[in-house]
This record gives sequence, structure tokens and C-alpha cells, in this order.
Amino acid sequence: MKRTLWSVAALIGLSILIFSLSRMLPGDPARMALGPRAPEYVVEELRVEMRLDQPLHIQYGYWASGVVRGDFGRSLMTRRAVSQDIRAYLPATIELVIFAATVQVIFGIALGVLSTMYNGRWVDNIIRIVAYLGIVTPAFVFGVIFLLIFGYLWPILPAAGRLSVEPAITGMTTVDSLLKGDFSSFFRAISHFILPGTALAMNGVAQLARVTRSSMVDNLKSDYVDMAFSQGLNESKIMFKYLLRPSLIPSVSMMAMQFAILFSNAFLVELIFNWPGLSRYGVNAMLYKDFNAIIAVVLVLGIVFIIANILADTIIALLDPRIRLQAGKGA
Amino acid sequence: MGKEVILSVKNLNVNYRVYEGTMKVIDGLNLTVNMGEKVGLVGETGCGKTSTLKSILRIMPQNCIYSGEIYFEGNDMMKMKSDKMRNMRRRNISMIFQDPTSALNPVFTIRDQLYSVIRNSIPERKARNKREVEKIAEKALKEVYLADPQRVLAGYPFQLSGGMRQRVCIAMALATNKDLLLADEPGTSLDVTIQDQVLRLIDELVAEKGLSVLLVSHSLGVVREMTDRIYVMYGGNMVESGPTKELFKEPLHPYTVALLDCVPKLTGEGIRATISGEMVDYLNPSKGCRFAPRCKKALNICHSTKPIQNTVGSSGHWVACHLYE
Ligand SMILES: Nc1ncnc2c1ncn2[C@@H]1O[C@H](COP(=O)(O)OP(=O)(O)OP(=O)(O)O)[C@@H](O)[C@H]1O
Ligand code: SF4
Ligand SMILES: [Mg+2]
Repeated sequence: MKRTLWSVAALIGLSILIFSLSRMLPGDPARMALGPRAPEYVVEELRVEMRLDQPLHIQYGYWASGVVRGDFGRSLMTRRAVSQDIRAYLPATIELVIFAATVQVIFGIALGVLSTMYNGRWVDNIIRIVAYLGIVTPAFVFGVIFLLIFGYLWPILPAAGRLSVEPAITGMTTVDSLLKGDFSSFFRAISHFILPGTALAMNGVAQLARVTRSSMVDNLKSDYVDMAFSQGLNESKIMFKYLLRPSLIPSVSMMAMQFAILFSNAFLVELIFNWPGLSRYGVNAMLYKDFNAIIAVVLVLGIVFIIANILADTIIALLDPRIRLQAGKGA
Repeated sequence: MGKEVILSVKNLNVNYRVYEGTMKVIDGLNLTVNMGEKVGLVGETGCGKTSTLKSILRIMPQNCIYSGEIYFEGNDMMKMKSDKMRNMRRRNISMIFQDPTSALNPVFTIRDQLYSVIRNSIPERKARNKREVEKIAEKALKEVYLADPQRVLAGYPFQLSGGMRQRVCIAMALATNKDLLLADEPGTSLDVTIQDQVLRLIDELVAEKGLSVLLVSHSLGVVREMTDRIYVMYGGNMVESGPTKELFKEPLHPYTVALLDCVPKLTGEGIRATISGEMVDYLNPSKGCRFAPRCKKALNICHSTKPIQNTVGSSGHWVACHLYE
């Protein structure tokens, strides 16, 4: 409950900040919207229509009362309602990011566990070296490399764009095809994710493998793992149950941070793979000084981050009874 | 009196690789425990007691290199394949860890941890029977005088007091039938009265179940009442051993004498003397007696030659010290 209030406060603060910043930037959005050749009186009319002639807090008031009703104003770039644009682009990015996050969780943790099981031996060393490379290589470099290899040299996977599934119910191709019961579309939709999603996931896979490994290797020295071995429990039960669970706590915190990074990295990946997503829309909006769109994108991302953090806290509480049971007492 | 040997450790060496080099901790250690016997292993902190116990169960950390022979009922466990070794841990030997707080997994309930130990140590057909496992768990918790087994089972380690955690660890070690108990300073982390209760409890259960015991402590006073025979360990070497009564009556090794001075006497003011001087430098241990730098009676030969075991009398009392050669 306390957390929800804080989240709302954070969102309001964020909206005021980004709204004021966008209005203080140099450049005239009305002029930008109409182009350099539009007559001055037309620009002036648009300025009044956009309420650019009013004081900042009045502008914010109008804008905020719209937002509460789901109205973010009109985009100068696409000339559609911003809310409509978001509905069109957000699902594509969410889907891509969730795919990437899933890849990260599965492969990051699996590599971390593998590294721990072969601790100090060559499998571990190779994983660690590859993880270092994975961390220092930016996501768009992976994107370009994947595009070259699988798009041109050995074209086995779709390298550009996204499947369109009609009718768009949620706007997420995988979910929509499943809702329709159309499995062949589902698998084709998934195949479109593999290249951009994996390119996007790589940094996080490497980070997660490292965090998981180091936390597991630390706990491997703990008394409770020694005791489990001394009791003759079998090794895989110790590794995957008694060692993995307490070791996953730092990995989950890391994942919450990764989730934010995924959205920002998504921009270049969306550009490279021609993915019609929100990150690309947001960056274009910035270049175009499309204030209504910028603010909306920032707010939507803010909401997504808050949800990701709440989710991470919930998972950590599930993993760690000390947090779960003591938090209940404190609040 | 035909004494049957249950555990025999021969020429055990334990080294740890660390950044600065190799720590030569346990240096040619020998030890036996007879069937039904209660043996104490005593020495100050860092002398290698826990290392010895962990080598017996082969649960050494990664940076450890060890060698030697460890016979359990005549079979060399050092040569056993890992699945056979695992069976020994499941059915024959139990260990109580030094610190019950860190020995219990913080994120699983006591029920989960105790049940999995029980399931793992009883025949598979029985292990599948949930009622059976529950019964064994409840009995084990009652045996260690935990008044409300259901509440303990449902709890997590952090919800229990230190004394309760210690009792849970003992229950885990003794829930199913074993032959040998390795007890690493049970109760040391608790206050003196509770430590006393814990030791009595172990004594009682061991007698009831007819176990052989290797009891580790840093204090001779603690093992006095509970053991038949004692090994005194200094810096990875056994320095003296003998029947408990005789060792207290006639301690020979200068280190044993110093240790006995640390035991608070009934008449004393309760001030514990400590032995002055530094612990052994395991990275560069001396070629001679490891106690020499701290020994008030050291001879010249002590710094260059390792003392051998000298038998004294007929009761199996021996001492490794140049003064008795
Ligand atoms: N994994 C390890 N790596 C390096 N050194 C170690 C390791 N484990 C133990 N040692 C060292 O070996 C020596 C003996 O340790 P051990 O734990 O066996 O002593 P102990 O007699 O049980 O002491 P205590 O009474 O404090 O429990 C100590 O000097 C310790 O620092
Ligand atoms: S051998 Fe020498 S140094 Fe070692 S205890 Fe005996 S007298 Fe002291
Ligand atoms: Mg110890």
C-alpha cells in the first residue's frame, strides 16, 4: 500500500519534471509542426490551440487532466492521438523486451549454474571470458553481427520487421496468434523475435551469468552447503535447490535493473531490425521535438519500471523468508 | 578386551592453497576411535579440528589438497567412489557443525531440511511414505526436547533461538540410525548454561543409541566428563593422547599443561589464563616441534627435529615431545 502511494508520487514528480523540461527546451513546436514555410498567423493559431501562450503550470494542468482521461494530446510527428500511437507501438516493444528478458533469465542463470558446477575448470573459464565479452559489447553491435550472419550469410531466420497478426487483439503477435489458436503464426511470430530479441538480451545474459555465478560460488563455501553434503544429499538436489535458491536473490535485483536497460537498448536494436516499437518512436519524437509524444513515452516507461521493480521485490520476498516475514511485521 | 576399531585416520595431511602460497595445516595426523568409544579432540582455535572432521567426510573446500588413509570399519574412505562415499554419509556417519546458525539453510523451513535428511537416510520404500517420515521427524525433535515440534517444523531458522537451532542440528544428525557422530564444538556459540544442556543432551542420546563419538572442543574442561579418551592437538599435529582420567591426572606435554591451566578451577577466581605467543605460521611451519616458539621448556633439538610419539605407561598414554625421549 505504502509502495503504491510512493509509486504514484514518483510518477507525478516524473511527469512534472519531464513536462517542464520539454517546455523549456529551445525551439518552437508549433513552427516545427507546420514547417518553415507556413505563414506566421497560422503558426500563431496553432500555438494558441496548443496553449503554448499560457503559463507553464496552466499548461501542465490542462495536460494532466487529459492524461487522467487517457488523452496525451496529439502527436506532431504522426498527427494522430499520442495514446493511439502508444497503443500501436508499445505492444511490439513490450513483446520484444519480454522475449529478451526470458532469454536472459533462462540462459543467464543456466550459464551461472554451469559455471559454478565446473568452478575453476575450463568450462567455467570459457563462460567467464565469454561473459566479459558479452558485457563490454554494446547491444547494437550484436544486432549488426546477427544481421550479417543470419540475415545475409546464412539466412535461416527473419532478419527484419515483425509478423502482423490480424485482428490485433492485444497487439502482441504471439498472444494474438495464440488467442486465435493459430499455432503456425505463433511459431512464425516467435521466429521474428529470435534475432532482435537475442541481440538485445546478450548484455543481460552475460551480467546475469556473472552475478549468479559469483553468488553461487560464495554460497558454495557456506556451512549449510557443507552440511547438506555431509548428510549425503545428492549433488543435483544441493545445487539446484539448497544452493540455487538463496543464491538467486542478487540475480533478481540485477534483472530488475536489466529491465530498464532493455528498454533503452531496444532503440538501436529496433532501428537495426526495423522493429516498429516504442523505443524507436520515442527517439524519433525527441528528434522531432514532439513534446506530447516524448512525455507520454517517458511516463509509460516510468510505469513499466515501477511494475518491474514491484515484481522483483515480490519475487525476492518469495525467495527469502527473512524479507517476506519481517516486512509483514514492520508495515 | 578386544577393542574393535570403527574409525582410523592414518597419516592425514591437509593443505590449503591460498594467495600467499600453501598452508600446511594438518601434518601427518593419526587418530582412532573404537566401537562405542567417546573420544575428545582438543586444541585451540585454528589448530585444524574442523579440517580433520571435514576430511573424514571428504567435504573439503576447493582450495584444499589432502592425502592419507581414513578407514571406516576397515574400508578406506579416501579411495571410495563418490556414490559409495555418499552412502557412508547417509547411513553411517553424522556431523554436527560448529555454528548451528550458519549450518541451517536460511531460506528453507526446518521441515523441508529435516525431512530431506530423513528421506535420504532411510530405505527408499519407507522414504516414500509421508506418515513414516513425519513420525521420524517428530520423534527426533522430541528427543532433543523441543517442546512444540509442529511449530519448529513450520519455522525458518531465523525464527528460532540459538539454542533451538542447535537442537535442530542435533536432531538432524541423529534422526536416523548412524554409527559414528562427529561433533564440532557443539554449543560453543551459546551461553554457558545452554552449552552445558546441549552437551548433556548429546551425551544422553549417544548412550541411548550406542554411537561412537569424536567430540571436538577447544577446551579440555568441556570434554572431561563426556569422553573416555582424549587427543590433544597443536598446530595440525597430535601432541598427546591418553585416557581422559590419566591425562587430567598426569598431563605431560607442555602444551597440554598450558591448556589445563586455562580450565577455570573451582577454587580459582574465574580468570582464564591464555597461552602467550602466536599461532603456527602454516605457510612456513618449522621443521621441528611446532610448539617450540611458544614452549618455555624448549631444547635446542626442538627447533630442528620433529618429536616422535613416546609411550608412557601401559594405558595407551603417549606424548610427542623431546622431553620424554
Ligand atoms: N578453506 C580454507 N582456506 C584456507 N585456509 C583455511 C581454510 N579452512 C581452514 N583454513 C585454515 O586452516 C587452519 C585450521 O582451520 P580449522 O577450521 O580446521 O581450525 P579449528 O581447529 O576448527 O578452529 P576453530 O576452533 O576456530 O574452529 C586455520 O588456520 C584456518 O585459517
Ligand atoms: S618438543 Fe620441545 S618445544 Fe615441543 S613441546 Fe616438547 S619441549 Fe616444547
Ligand atoms: Mg572449527
